[in-house]
This record gives sequence, structure tokens and C-alpha cells, in this order.
Amino acid sequence: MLRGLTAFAVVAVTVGLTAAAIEFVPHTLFFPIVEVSLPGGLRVTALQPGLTEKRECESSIREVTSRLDAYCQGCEVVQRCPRGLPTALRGALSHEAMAQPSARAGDGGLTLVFLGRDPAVTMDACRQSQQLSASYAVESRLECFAAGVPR
Amino acid sequence: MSAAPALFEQRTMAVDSKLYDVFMRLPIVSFTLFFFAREIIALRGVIAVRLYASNYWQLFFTVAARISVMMFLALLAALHLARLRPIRKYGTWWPRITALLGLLTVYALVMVPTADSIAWWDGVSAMLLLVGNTLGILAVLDLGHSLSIMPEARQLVTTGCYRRVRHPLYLAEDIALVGVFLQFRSWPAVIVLTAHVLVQLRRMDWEEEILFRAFPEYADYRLRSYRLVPGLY
Repeated sequence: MLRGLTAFAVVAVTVGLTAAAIEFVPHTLFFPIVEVSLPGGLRVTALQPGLTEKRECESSIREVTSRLDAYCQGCEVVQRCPRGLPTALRGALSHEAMAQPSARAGDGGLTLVFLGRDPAVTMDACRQSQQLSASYAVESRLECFAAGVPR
Repeated sequence: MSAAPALFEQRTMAVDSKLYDVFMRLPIVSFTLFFFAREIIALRGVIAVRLYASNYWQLFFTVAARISVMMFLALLAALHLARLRPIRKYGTWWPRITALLGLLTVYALVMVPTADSIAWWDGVSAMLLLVGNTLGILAVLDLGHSLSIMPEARQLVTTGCYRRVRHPLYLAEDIALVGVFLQFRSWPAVIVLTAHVLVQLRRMDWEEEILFRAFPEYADYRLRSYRLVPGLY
């Protein structure tokens, strides 16, 4: 009886601590987010998986911004490192289909979400990002996914 | 059971001062607390990498496996602080060296490159780590104040996990190590783990020998229990 209770207690504590870690640890992580507004109303959000240190996050958004600057001078860029990923962006890091076109690096290290008034233009921008990344290392190359397609 | 009696020292409280005994607990307590702290720091990284990218249950079992490692390490530290003083221990270094090798050999894996992450293997690995560590926690709780890295006799434990198997903690450790191996899946990792198992088998010899010498009832316990795997060995 006591033996069974001990085993149950060990499992219960493990499950409880695991659930607590999954619930609370994400709020301590820093998520690199770069939002770029292009002329014509197209908006691209670049985001990466969470990082444990803020300086890592800042260095990461600087790198993304410098890449974007090379292709889009004069675009309006907003970069931030929030603690915890805003709910609206969580789906972007998953493998689920999205309502907008999105591009993702093979290693999951970078995801771009394209938002615009004209679906054809947003899809075209997505495909362009894939082409532009062709010279990157294989795991960093972007693959474009149309809206509604599991990624 | 062929070791000469000269190998043994009958240690009593008069021989080992309390201060000496407390002092000798510090290395293993520091060792486990160091790895406990490392696990806490690493947990954020594990969650950061897998959060949202993997499905919830895959993340859950991966985190649960790491949490069970932390619980095991915390328990090791606590029980080493609270352990009884030995009534019998070896007077030579070989049993201690074997025990230390048994503890440390597996850390040679830090020099072996890990295999590419494959969701299916990662899942099985996490499950084995979780099962092994949970069983390890139960075995350590059964050992209680008799827990020791070195082969030393304190109190004979023949209940709980120890009722049918004489070394359930090593069985638990080996289950978890198969889980660790799945993250490497290479010949160098096979070599490290084989070396580890061989050292652990020798360590079991030393432990059984000292318990046999210290507790007359151990001979009977050995006859009615398996060494490592219930029903097999």
C-alpha cells in the first residue's frame, strides 16, 4: 500500500513539475521578432524560437535586420525581444497550417509570416524569400508554404 | 566471493570520526548538486528549442525526463547527507576505484557527437529516460539511509524494489542509459556504454561481497533474488 502510494507520489510530482515548467518557463524566454512594413501595405514578421538570454535575442534580431536591410532599404523595421511569445504568433512556430503564406528555415531557426491586402502579392513575396535564401546553408534555406498548407 | 578477508576493514564509529564521515559526504553531494544546477539551467534551453515547434506530448515527455533527472539528483544529494555511517567497508582502493569508474565512465559520452534529431528516436529516448529515472528514484527511496556510491555495508535492504532484485538502481540506470544511447546511436557510444556495464558488473561483485560479509542473512537473500533483471539474471 505504502509502496503504491510512494510510486504514485513520485509520478504525480514529476507530472506536476513538468506541467509547471511547460506553463511558466516560456514566459522567461526572449523571442526575437522583427516586423517589416513594405510600401504597398505588405508586412513581414520574422520570428525565431525562444532564447534564454536577452543579449542573444538582441544579437539575433540585429542579424535578421541586417539581412533584411540588404534587400529592402527604406522599409520600416520594428524589432523587439519580448519575454514570452505573443499568443497570435505561437502558431507560426508550429507545424500547423497558417491563414497567410509563411516561409520557414529547414532547422526551424527562422519563420517569416507574410501579411498583405493582395494574396497574390503576399504569396509572391513568400516565394521570393525562398529564392533569396538559396545561397544559405541547407538548414537555413527558407521554404515557402501557401496559406492553409501544413508546414 | 573469493576476495581475501584482508581486504576488509571492520569500521565502527570509534574508527571513523563523525567529522571524517561528514567530510566524506561532501564530494558526492557537491557532484550531484553541480549536475542538478546544470540540469535546471539546461531545462530552459530544452523548452526554448522545442516549444511550439514539437507537439505538446513530445515536449511534455522530454521535459518530464529532464525533471525526473533533477528529482533523482536532488534525492541523491539529500540521502547522502542523511546516510548512516558504514559498519563495514573495504580496506583497499580497488572497490572504490571501481565505484568511481562506475559513476564516471558514462560521462565519456560528452566526447561523442550526438546523432541528428529524429522525432521517433527522441520520443523513445525520452520515455526510457523517464522510466529509468522514475525507477531509480523509487530504488533510492527504498535504499534510504543505506545509499552509498562506494561499496560499503550500512543496513541490509531487501524490501520494495530490492525484494526480487539485488541491484534495481543499476537496472534503472541501465534503462535510462539506453535512452541516452538513442541520442547518440554510434559505435563510440556503444563502446562507452559497454565499458560502463562491465565496470558496473564488477561493482556489483564488490557490493555483494561486502554485504555478504556484513550480514549473515544476505546469503539467503541472494538465493531468493535476481541480480539485475527479474526472471533473467
